[in-house]
Amino acid sequence: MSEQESMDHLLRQLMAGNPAPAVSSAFDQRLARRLRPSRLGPVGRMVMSLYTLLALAVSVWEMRSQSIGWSLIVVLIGVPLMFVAAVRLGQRHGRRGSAIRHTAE
Amino acid sequence: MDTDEELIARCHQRGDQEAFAELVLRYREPVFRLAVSILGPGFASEAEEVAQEVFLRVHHALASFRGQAQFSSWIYRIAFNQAVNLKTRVRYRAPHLSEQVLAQTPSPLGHPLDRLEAARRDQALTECIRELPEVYQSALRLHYWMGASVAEIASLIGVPENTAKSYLHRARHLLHEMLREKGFENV
Repeated sequence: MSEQESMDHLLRQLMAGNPAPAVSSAFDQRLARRLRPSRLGPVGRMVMSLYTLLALAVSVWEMRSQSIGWSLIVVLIGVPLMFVAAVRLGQRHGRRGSAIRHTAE
Repeated sequence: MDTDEELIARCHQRGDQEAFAELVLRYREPVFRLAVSILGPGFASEAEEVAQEVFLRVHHALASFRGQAQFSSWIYRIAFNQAVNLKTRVRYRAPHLSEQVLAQTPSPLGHPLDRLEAARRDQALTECIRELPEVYQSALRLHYWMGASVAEIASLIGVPENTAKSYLHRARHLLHEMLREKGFENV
């Protein structure tokens, strides 16, 4: 048997034991969800941003009027904001990088 | 049936989502097959993620597609690059198989020693495949694992049919040499 024939035979034998995978049935649904435009348009985003800034300003003003120190105010406002940012970042990475999942079965 | 160009035109002119869905339906399987042929067995979910990213990119970049190349070549090129990037970015560890598992691997050969030898050779061959250049790995997996013809391989990796054929030929030759270097003389 020639080198090419024997390798052909070995490769067929090796790969025959592993069924070829196919796209999952949820593929289209997942893609459609990711392609769906954001529910907020540019104006909606601007309104939400202004509302957030106003809410922050009112919160800081109210906390100052209760004689709360600046450092505590920063912690009380900064920690939840950082938490939200981390969750959003995590979701984005989760979507992109289920890739990193290790499926060495 | 609409051609790819007609579907793209419908996406451009009317923002027709059904036309885009038709493109997805037409290309999801080949894009996935190409991605999994690069990433290898055991990485089907990652390949599907690559396919999702490819369609997201295509959706965003469709307006800039001028039709200088065929749509299929364009989307396959994106898929190939995405899959290779993912493979480079993530340090994949090869699935480890213990000697015991290797010894239990079913084989047509009867004698346990022969079975162990065959399992060792298969493991060595799998490792050798991973050391080949990406296009050779992809061509081999498309052909032997997914049953793709030379013409399909050529279309997916964007080369003429003769080149795809020579990739397969050279890959088999390289594997033969590598196996011999690993001490498998009778291949």
